[in-house]
Amino acid sequence: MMVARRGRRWALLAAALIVAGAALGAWLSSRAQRARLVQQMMSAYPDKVTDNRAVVQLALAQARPLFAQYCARCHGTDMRGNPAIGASNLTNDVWLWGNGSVFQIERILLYGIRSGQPQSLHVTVMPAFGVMGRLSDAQVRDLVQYLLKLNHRPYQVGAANTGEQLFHSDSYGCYDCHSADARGDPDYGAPNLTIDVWNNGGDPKSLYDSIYYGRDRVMPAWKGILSLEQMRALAIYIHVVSHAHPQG
Amino acid sequence: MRLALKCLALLALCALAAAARPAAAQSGGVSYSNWSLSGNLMILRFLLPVADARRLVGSDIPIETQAKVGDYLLDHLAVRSADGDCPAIDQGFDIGRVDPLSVQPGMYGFEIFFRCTDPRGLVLQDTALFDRLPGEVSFARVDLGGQLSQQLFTAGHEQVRVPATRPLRSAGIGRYLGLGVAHILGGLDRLCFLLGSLLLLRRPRQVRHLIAGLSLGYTASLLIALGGWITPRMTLLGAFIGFMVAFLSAQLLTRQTGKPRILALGSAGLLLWLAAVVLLAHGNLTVVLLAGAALFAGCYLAISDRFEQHLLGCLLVPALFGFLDGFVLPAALLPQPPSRRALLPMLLGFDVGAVLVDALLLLAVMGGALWLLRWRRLPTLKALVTDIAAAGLGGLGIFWMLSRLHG
Amino acid sequence: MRAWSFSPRRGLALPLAGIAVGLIAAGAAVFRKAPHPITRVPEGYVALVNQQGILMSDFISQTATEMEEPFEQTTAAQRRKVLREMIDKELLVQRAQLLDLPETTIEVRTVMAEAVDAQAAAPMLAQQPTEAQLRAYYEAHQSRYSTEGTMTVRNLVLHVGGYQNADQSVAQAEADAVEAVYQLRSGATVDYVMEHFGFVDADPQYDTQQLDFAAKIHLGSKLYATAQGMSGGQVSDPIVDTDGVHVLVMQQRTPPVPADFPTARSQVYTEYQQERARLAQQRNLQYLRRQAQILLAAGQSE
Repeated sequence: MMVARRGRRWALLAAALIVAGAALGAWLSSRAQRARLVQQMMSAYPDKVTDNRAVVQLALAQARPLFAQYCARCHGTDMRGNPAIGASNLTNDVWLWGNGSVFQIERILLYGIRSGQPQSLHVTVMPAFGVMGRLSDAQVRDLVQYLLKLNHRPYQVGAANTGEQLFHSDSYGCYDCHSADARGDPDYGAPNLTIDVWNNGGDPKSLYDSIYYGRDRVMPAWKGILSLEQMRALAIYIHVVSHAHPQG
Repeated sequence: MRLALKCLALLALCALAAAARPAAAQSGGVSYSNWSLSGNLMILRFLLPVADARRLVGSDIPIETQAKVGDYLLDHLAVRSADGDCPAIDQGFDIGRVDPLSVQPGMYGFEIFFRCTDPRGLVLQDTALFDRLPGEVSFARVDLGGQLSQQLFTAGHEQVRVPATRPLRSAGIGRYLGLGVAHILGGLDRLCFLLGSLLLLRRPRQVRHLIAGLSLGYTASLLIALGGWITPRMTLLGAFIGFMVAFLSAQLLTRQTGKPRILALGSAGLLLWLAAVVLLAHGNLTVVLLAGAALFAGCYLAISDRFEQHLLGCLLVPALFGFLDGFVLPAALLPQPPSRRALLPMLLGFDVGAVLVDALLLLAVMGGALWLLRWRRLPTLKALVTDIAAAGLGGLGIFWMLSRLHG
Repeated sequence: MRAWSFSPRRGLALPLAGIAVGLIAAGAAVFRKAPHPITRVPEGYVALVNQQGILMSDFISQTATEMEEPFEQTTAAQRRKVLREMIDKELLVQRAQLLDLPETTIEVRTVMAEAVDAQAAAPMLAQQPTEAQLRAYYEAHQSRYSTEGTMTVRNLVLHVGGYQNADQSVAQAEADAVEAVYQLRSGATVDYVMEHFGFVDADPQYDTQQLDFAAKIHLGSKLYATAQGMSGGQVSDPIVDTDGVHVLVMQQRTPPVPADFPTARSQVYTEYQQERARLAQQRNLQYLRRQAQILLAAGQSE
């Protein structure tokens, strides 16, 4: 009886040891696998990193909670942005600055936009044409009609034509940043005005406000707050999400 | 009568402890130099702990400390060659002859360029700090055209001569052996621990366990330090050595009173109370240290009468002491770490020196005590010494532990 | 209670485990992982210069900018060139630190201080104010917001002393100016008064229409204080200044009018954000001061 009990104890102990050993082995193996993937994620050229599916999976898993913690406050938990504060929609492949590559997104994460960091993106702002007195209230309204026309929305023909002339006039120079075909210039953070995607709202009132009062929104720099690995993971995540739903 | 004597001894030792400085139990200062020959230019980088620099300048406020220490070093560091003195050259801009460097926190760094007309028959001289801090040790790395060697400047050994015909060899193991000996003899806390441990021996021949435990500890620290995996926080290590001295007192009292339960609860309670106080002030590693010490002391003292009859019980405390003390040199070398190959003879010499002096000291005191007991027939002598030692070790140990924890 | 003393019925296992756990806890406090110098460039960096990293991202960006083509299209030689430049720059920056330039060079100190201010303000600027906050700020500082006024003013001066009027005293000039003002107010022309009393135009190039802020610069604070309260066609009383006695003749004046919120919104927004940035910088300084140990010599205060 005593011997049998002792034998059972040994068997239980052995089983527990085997289970613990297997769990430890699995844990160590997953850690090694993760370390290898992190190494691949960080050493690859940023724009090539999405070719590796395993790395993308790792980045997505790592980035989701980070996005919720650091980015969702402005860009929303659904990543669709917030026109009230000019936070861009990250689910479409439309970019105010840069081309939406992992590298470009990572640069913005690192140094921000008008963040006070010397390397942040702050080349231009949208001037307050109305407040500065360069455009009258009526002229701003004409430009709004022209924007509606560009985006195939209902518009007033006469006002839109006047707006078009204003847009291409040397006196106001709208085309200087937004280009002659109004398709914008991501080097200057000038949005494409023909695709009906608006960071600060696309209703006539918001369009009026953008021209009359100007826009100069800020995105903070995350260098020093997030690690390089975290920023790379977030850049991959945002890139993947934006390209998975290009229609927004 | 015995109680009165105990109280008297305790008071005397508390007064001694209050008068002593925490640093008095620690070894002397350490500085570092790197001598690198490039063409006919000997580039010397010298690192000095901030505390030593301030002691040198004589001010606790770092006003012009850097400039004053720089001038002092210029007077006490020199290079000579067969052609005569190699002067320190002006480094241009507004730097002058001593360039202060930005180095790791807690250190001052300086760079001096010595230009020799003919860099043969070089003699490197470092007399810095030995006049002010006799226990000072200066670890030097000498790079002569890619040939690296480790040197040691101490009081009385203030020059290194570069042989003309063969490469410069690193300082021999004997130098580090001497360092180990000086380390033990110069540390009041180490001496207290060793002498206190003698009083715990039940039979004279048990001294071999003490020596074996110390040797085991030093050997383990040597192996781990060579692996380079961990390094001590010197403040906490010093505090734990203070605790071990106090712990000897608790062991002696347990033995004397035969009340392990009270001593175990008392020691653990005192340490846990300290941990709680520290936790309220600022929770940090000190709390972990005190809590660990409380658990160790409580459990050990509770079973000390039985445990000390086992070999493990005889070896554990001295081995622990040896292990901790063996990390003093690796920690000192951290600001300018030598290669692993160079580290082995340094640590080996230091540890062997420490164990040797430990063993000789223990045997000498044991022999003297036996002689006294045998010939002078003073049956109460051991009891008297034990009482005084228990009080003294407790007071001093707690003083060292607290003063070091407080920094 | 016998659990605390050794009992033959119980083993040593539990106390020994306690001893081991205690030693492990104390060991965890006493020891730490040994620091090792980084001998391999970590991922995300292109180089380590004296243990200081250069970001791969910065390298890619710098190469593309300097070579004016996408990074993938740059040659190995071009990349080497850029990397060498970046390493050189890092070495110079590190040398600057060794030479204590932040301590000794005013320009470096200024740039460092501004950079810290900008960083402290950035998180605050990232939070956009609501319309209600902007409106409340506007209402609290309404006097600041007005349209810019304009004026066309002749600034006549009767110099005292100097080459032209060496014998002229201030009292005499002031008496002449009083007479001149009387005549101007009675309908005399400016040219007649200038010729008759010896006035000269202090700012002949600025007697066209000016915005108020420009007029303030040209007239100086003392004269502007008088000018801004005048209306078109008014002549000021004589004003004694350092260079003589002035008389202002306001030819045209459009005074500033308070701006309503929509008109002033952009300015309100800018000033609101600047105010918040200033607050963030002050808070940062307060924090730094709390952390710092600042000792002042006897008799000094700040």
